[in-house]
Amino acid sequence: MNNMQNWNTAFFLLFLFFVAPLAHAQFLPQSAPNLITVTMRPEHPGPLARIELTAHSSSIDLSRSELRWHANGKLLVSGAGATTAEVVAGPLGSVTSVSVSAQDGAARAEGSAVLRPVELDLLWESDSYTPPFYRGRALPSAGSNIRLQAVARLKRAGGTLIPERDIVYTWRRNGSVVASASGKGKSSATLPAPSLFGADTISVSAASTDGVLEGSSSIRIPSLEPILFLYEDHPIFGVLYNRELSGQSTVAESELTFAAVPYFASTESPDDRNLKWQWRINGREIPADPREPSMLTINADRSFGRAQIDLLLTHATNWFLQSAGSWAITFSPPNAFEEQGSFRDSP
Amino acid sequence: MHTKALRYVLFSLIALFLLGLAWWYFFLNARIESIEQRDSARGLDEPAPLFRNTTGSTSGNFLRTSEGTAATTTAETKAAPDMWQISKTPVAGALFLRNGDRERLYFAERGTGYVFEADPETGSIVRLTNRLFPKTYGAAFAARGGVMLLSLDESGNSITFVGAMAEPVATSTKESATSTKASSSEAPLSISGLSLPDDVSTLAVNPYSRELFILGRVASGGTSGIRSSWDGKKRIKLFSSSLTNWRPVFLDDGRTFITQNAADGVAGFAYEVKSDGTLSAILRNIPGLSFLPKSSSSAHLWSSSAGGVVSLFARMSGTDSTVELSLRTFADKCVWAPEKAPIIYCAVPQETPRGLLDNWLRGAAHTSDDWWRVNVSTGEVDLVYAARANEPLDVLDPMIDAAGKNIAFANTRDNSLWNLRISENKEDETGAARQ
Repeated sequence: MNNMQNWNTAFFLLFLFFVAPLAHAQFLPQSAPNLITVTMRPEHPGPLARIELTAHSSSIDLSRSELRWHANGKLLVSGAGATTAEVVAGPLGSVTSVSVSAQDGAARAEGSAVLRPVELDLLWESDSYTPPFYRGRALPSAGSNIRLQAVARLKRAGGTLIPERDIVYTWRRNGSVVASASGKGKSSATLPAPSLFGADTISVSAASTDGVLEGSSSIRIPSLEPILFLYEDHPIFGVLYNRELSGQSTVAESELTFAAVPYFASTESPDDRNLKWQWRINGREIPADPREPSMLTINADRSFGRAQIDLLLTHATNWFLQSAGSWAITFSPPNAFEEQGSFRDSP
Repeated sequence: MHTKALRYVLFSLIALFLLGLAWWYFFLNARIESIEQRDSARGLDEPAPLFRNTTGSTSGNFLRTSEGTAATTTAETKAAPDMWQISKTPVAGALFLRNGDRERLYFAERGTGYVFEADPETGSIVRLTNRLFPKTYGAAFAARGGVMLLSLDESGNSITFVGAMAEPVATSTKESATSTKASSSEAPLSISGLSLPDDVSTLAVNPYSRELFILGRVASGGTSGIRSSWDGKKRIKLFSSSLTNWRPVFLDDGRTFITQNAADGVAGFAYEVKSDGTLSAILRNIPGLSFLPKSSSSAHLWSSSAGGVVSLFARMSGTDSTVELSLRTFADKCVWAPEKAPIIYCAVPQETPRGLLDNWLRGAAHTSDDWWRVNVSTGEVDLVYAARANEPLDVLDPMIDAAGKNIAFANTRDNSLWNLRISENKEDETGAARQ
């Protein structure tokens, strides 16, 4: 009797293991139409973006199936093994319903996706130093910060734009969520710049509070070394930012004030007390003017020749900030003595 | 005996005094000569300023250095050359505005902030003001004698002066925009105004409506976009941004735009700032973006720079397809023609080496530009002016007069001001330019 019971139990277990799954596979398509998973590239498309749709299924061989793709009821593509399709997203605020069906003999599977395009711009700049009226972007260097701003346009199907304060922003740095910068209405963030010669991937996602609308954007930001440029500080015209003094320059002046500009250094001013300027002229160290250490005046009166200017910029606390430059300036004043003289600095 | 000795001493003292005076005279003369030579060297090979004429030293010196252009003021009627160097000294800014029967070019000297009026037809130059604004880095002009001058304080913060040159004597329409007492009178005009609050980071002006589009610094960081009256008093806040590297554009038709500052290979965005403060994206994610919208039209031009490859594009409207133009230049070197047809004039560098954008923005590289005309609709491209080897021009911020006959621009090599007269006969001018 016990043996009979054991055999019955064994048969029941075998039935469960081998027969029940087959029965499940036969009836599941009718009861669960979402067997096909549809993925989109890009994941969060913008308005009028071309989107690549791909069908995936673990329960039906799609490569041997007859697939039919529809967008808002209109046939997009059909054919055996047509596992991918392309669709163009509608304008901002539109809804595009995509469906796919697959038939492999008696087996049938279905899947769907909804496209709600949003616009999300990820803008950035650094708070590093650039001179007044500079038309270029401030780029990050070690020790500076990156200012980020997300400009999101999430439009509901009814046509209303979701205000910025009602959008949930999630900021990520190299994939890790920056919790302090993320949250409702937090469309901007300030993050430390990547370390020297490093690069960070910053991403942001913006979603409506109900999660129906969502967009994301990312950017890779490298860190640069600050660059030193030398300009003439003209007594009448001011600093001539339009004309950098190149490595070898000749100036028809007997006296010239040089303005060094540390592009992208982590400072608000080139005369910041934390910046250490080391000027050398023809190998001789020249003490920097404590008030304006980024400026140097050379008096070449009664001199004629070349001044080799070497400049080294470091920071008192930011050890990563280091930049150097070298310029050979030939002073050729109109009535200079035809003799090689030594240059006098007058900081 | 005593009287005789006293007389000798007295004569000796007088002789010594006279000798001292003579030495002092020669010493002073030598110093003056030395100072003049030094000043001459400082002034980019200009003669030292003279303080001996009636119209003011800078004006006098300015006119003297404008050889081949205007030797006098209003009396000069000699036609200016097709490529006319209006100023050899650096200028801070310029703008064409109508004064009386025709348009004239208004510009401010960089060293003094003095305002001048140049007539591209006759080649005459008149100094209008005599109030000194040393080291004026930027200048803009508006109807009814409006002047905006930009300088720096000791800490490097910008100081924005807005004012007017004279009381208006005519209505401020687009047709008669800048009637001032200026050119009719030889006496310099007074210039009065005020300094805007020191929160101004950068600004753009609408010369005809006399409005300012100010991008101001916010204490907590970032930028506040403000539209204001010319005196900066009636302020309407349009938008705020956590970023500061923006360039504003204020078109004659009243539209305002902002573009992120450019860097080679770095994505930039351009937005129209609507009157309700919303940002409407015009261009998104363009590396090294430089943007130039057309007034009274939805057409716009832009350039990109990535990996040293410079490209120029145009679009007639937001829904039209993008046209890539065959010219390799920055939108900063282009200007839309005033006519309705989509004509662009662009200064095109003869070479665009790798890293040009960044180096050009920092004054570390300069170009030698040819002038080209492009019809965006037809794709027709014509050479207007070929660069001369002995006179290389690195064009920045060109502007065109309402008749479309003159293009004024700054040569960034020395910030001098130039005017190119566009010939009406395109065939002739193209042929002439190519010769």
